[in-house]
Amino acid sequence: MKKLFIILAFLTGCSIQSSMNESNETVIQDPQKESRSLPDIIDQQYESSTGILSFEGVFRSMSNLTKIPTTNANVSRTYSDVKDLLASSNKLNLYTPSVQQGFLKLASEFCNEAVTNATRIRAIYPGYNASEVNIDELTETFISNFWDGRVSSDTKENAIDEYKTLLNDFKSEGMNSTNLVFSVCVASLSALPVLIY
Amino acid sequence: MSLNILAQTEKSRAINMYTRLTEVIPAVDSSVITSMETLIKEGNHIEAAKLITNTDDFYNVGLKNFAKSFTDSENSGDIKLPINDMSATIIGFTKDNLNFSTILSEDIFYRYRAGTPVNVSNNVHYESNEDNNVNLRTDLVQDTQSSYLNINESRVAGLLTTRGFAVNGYEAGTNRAAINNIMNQFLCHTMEQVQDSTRPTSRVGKDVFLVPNPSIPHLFKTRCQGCHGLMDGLRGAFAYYNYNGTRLTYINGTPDEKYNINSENNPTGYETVDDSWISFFNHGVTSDFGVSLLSGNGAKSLGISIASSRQFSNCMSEKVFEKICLKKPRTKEDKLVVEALARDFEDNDYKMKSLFEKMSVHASCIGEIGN
Repeated sequence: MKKLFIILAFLTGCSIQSSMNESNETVIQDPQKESRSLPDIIDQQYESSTGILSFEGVFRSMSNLTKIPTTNANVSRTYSDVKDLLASSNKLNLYTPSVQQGFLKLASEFCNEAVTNATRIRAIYPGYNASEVNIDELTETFISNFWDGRVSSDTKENAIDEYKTLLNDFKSEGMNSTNLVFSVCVASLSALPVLIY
Repeated sequence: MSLNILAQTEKSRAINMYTRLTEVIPAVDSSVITSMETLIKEGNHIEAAKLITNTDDFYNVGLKNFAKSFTDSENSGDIKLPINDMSATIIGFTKDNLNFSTILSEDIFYRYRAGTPVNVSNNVHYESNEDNNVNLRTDLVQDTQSSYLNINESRVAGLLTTRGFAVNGYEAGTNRAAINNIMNQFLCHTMEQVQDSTRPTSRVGKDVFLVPNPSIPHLFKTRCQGCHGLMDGLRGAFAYYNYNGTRLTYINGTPDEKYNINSENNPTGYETVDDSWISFFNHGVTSDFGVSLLSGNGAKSLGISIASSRQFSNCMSEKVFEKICLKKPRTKEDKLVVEALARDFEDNDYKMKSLFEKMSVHASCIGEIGN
């Protein structure tokens, strides 16, 4: 429960929203800087070539990114639980709070499976050291692994800076290595670059 | 902060192509992405796309969702619809590189290799295998419909005689729903879009009122004729077919009673006596559909007529574009790509997998990567 609270706090700080600009380019926005409402996205998505991953797409994407197989009992069970919360088509206007809720729960399960097994965590974070976490390396590794090829370098660098700041705060407050890794894993895996395409 | 989906590095192109075709995000260090990067650097985009269409993700998510869209009679886009014999056959034709112009006429369907046996009266075989995440790339096999339906193979018409099509096309009603579904799913038009009052009325059934509303004396001419002229000419092809609530039925030589119901509505209307059909596609607004076979008997010949038309190829190309780009081709450039790949589809034996690969290279939503 404490772990989930930490993640929610983390996500609140780092959460991003998307919308379309005039040239139909998807723009990830900081909600604290600009507050475009969801109806804007709905109105403009008709001519957009941006969509949302469906439930199966989310499940297989998270499996690919974390290298945890879809046959893993715990992720499979959680997927069954949240499947109906996730999108049933690729239409962007299906991005609702329930989708994000299911998306977050599933990401949490994949990341939990990863951090509870040293072999698994090293498959996606080769530099993992349980006794000492290098925040810079940790952040850059996860964001690169999960977002590379899908966001601009500016977006990536900005996110890395924000994540580093938050993780350093958590670390200074005594968060252990496993929870730090879990935090950045969930935050980057449940972010929009992994949900929309 | 911007999420630039048109980023131009080879890796991002590879990831974008992969995600568009499969609806799944790949690992950046996966062997497929690494190999694709190399091929894209060499300018060999088609070979890069071929790597994607050989993955489990393509078959189990992207292609499956594409195939399910054909069984979505409401066009809701809901992919929680279960897989069935119709969608499985679309996947199988694509997987095995079969000629898609035969998909509405051949005595073929696809089933899973194992699991609950196929039963023509329910969908359990498909749903249970899907629930068990059985791999569509490796465990989908070809079979003959005639051996399960116990009808002669000459009466089998590919997707048109699958249970998945029958549920939405032949249950109750007048079998006009089957024509409506063909129009939507294989010709990419609604009946409203193709209505045209210049078409002959010689095949309009007895159940269609000539004066549906006395206060609007010309309503039949201005409204009803536009759709019924075309639909009723074609629906004779399915006169011997019905869906009885659980399965497709076929009675040779006897039009189903639904064909001549409510004959008092229009005593001078056409009485269906056999399974002959006449196509009026070459009249009016559909004259550019490129339909060459204009009459025949039974569903098989109608399936051949539809799937050999120019509009069928246009429709398949448009559907693949929409699948990859999530929008209709509205710009001049997008329309040119769809048109060119429709002709390429025809010139290269109607290979659906190849159409996906080429679209992923040329569609503007992927970026200007050319080849």
